[in-house]
Amino acid sequence: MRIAILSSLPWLDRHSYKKFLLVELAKKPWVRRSDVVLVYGGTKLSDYIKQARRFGIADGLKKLRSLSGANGSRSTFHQEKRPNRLTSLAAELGIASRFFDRLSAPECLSFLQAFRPDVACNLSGQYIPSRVLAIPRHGVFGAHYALLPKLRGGDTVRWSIFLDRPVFVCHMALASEMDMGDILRTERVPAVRGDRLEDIYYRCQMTSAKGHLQLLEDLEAGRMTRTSQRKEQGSLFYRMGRYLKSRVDQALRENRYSHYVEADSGII
Amino acid sequence: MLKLIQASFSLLQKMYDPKRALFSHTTDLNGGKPTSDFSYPLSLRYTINVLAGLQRAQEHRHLRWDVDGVLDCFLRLHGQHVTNAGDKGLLLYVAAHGHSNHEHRLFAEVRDLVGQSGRLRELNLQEVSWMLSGLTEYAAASEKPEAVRAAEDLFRFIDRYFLNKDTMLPFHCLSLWRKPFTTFGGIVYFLKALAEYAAAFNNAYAEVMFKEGVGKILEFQGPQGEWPWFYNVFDSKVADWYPIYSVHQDSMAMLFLLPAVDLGVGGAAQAIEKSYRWLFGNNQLGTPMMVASPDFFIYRCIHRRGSLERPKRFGRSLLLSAIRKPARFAANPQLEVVMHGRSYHPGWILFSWSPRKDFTEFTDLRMLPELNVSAPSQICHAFEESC
Repeated sequence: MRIAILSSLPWLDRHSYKKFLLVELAKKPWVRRSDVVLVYGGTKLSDYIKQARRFGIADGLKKLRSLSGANGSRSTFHQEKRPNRLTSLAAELGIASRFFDRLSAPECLSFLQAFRPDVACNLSGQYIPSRVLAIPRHGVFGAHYALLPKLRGGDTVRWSIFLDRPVFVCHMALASEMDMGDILRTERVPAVRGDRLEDIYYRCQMTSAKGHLQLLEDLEAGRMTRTSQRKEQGSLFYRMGRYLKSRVDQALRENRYSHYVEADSGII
Repeated sequence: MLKLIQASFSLLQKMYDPKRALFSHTTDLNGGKPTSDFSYPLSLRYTINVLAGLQRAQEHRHLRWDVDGVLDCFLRLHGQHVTNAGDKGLLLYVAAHGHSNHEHRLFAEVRDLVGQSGRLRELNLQEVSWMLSGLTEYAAASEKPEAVRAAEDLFRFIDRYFLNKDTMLPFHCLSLWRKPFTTFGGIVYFLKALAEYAAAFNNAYAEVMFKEGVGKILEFQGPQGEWPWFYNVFDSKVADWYPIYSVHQDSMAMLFLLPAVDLGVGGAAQAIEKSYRWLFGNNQLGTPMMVASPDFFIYRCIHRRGSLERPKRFGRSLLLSAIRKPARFAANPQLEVVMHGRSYHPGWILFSWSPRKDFTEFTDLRMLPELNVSAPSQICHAFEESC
């Protein structure tokens, strides 16, 4: 199976869940490392500035701190010594990396067309243009951190907590309309008392990585199911401002969230 | 018929000129005899306001009213002068709600504006909110995908550019010098548009933003139920309390408070009671703003005495913002009641209260027991004469 992994901002790309995905993918017997490629869009300085403006300095720093896992190491995976950057890890694993200004750049499209991926996994956190979506035979898979089709859009971990709903990670085959692709898998993400947003977010990332691996496994075994969405089944939520973010932080600080699981339940 | 609706309808008749087919910009009660000013462009806007109210009252069987006929007449006589984007939006609302044959043309005009983000950026909060109300109503009634898309696009634009999500207060406009300050009027129309959008498209995000926006504005209501006029959008403080308008107290605040009551927003019902009681002498000057004698009338506002009200307010607000202090109430001798009225006021009363069966203390005007209202004749006859 030929797999393209889409990502962005290579200087900052040090996320544990992405490293986990690459390492685990490389272990699969049905994967030839030469058939996997890491494709970067958003590599210019202006993309980093745009990202910094999007998240704000405080949030950006928080995000940077959480890159290698909230609260430090969480599992044996994180205790193993690995290269800091995803590109270095990919090189170590024998997986090629390619860099483009944008994923929609003609050079990137030409490269992907020539590579002929069966499937692409979107880990870029960015909008994927239709011309890219059309290239892989089985589409571009992406993870959405909330229950689909109910809760679409951005800042969805925060929105789930704000609306006092359980947190989910849903994988979908991306469509040109935001969060409207076919749903491929749905998994609940547990939260425990004392969790900060970064902790829940980190758990979502790991669930996303494991979900991607499972989907690729399912695709290989020919057992993938797709559930289509209708627009009226949910609403698109947009980014929160400080006013609502502080309410979410406060709810977590005060453990006022109805969907905690017990820390010793074995689910975490 | 509710006594409040009946009295407001009677008042509207005095504010109407059948020859011009317009409701007044300003009406004064000089010794009991009303004198009105019908000058453009506000009389156009207020006439559309009143049409929306009359349409609502007709729909709930308080009046018999040929809205389509009146709308035809108004557009024939004045249509070419309705150039403001917000007015077109409200007109689209009225046309779409009544399934008028003008709705498609009006929709095309409003949709064209939504496609031009440069022009949208030049509009103010009231204008974009009225456009959204119109598009939402048209999209809900017609179920046309292009109408739904236009409403979605405008909603997204407003959410992205007009709402300061750090304070949950919307900007009055996007120009730098005016951006820090917003008015109660604009906030009302913004929240009204959010509530309508949420209901029409079953949009959970819009509903949350509406409820949170209402929760935010409830924090500003004064001790006697008054709604401050001027707010600092960045530090979320009252920049000036005055003028305090009667229309805000009895009908415009209801454009968001009544939907908020229906959605179970805590404190909304109490805010409504405090808000309308302000008109019956429960205000800073202890003056009744709604009177029964010699005829039913509602005075416009309590404001600061003196000239250059707007520049002074702006200067005062800038100063208070610089020292990060909220505005205080002025001393009573500095204040006075503005005695004239405007037609959009009874228009919004009809719009807000016609569908309601609750808050009967107000809708039955129990705080104005001396009022006798005779059954009103129908304005539509007068309209038909002029066309």
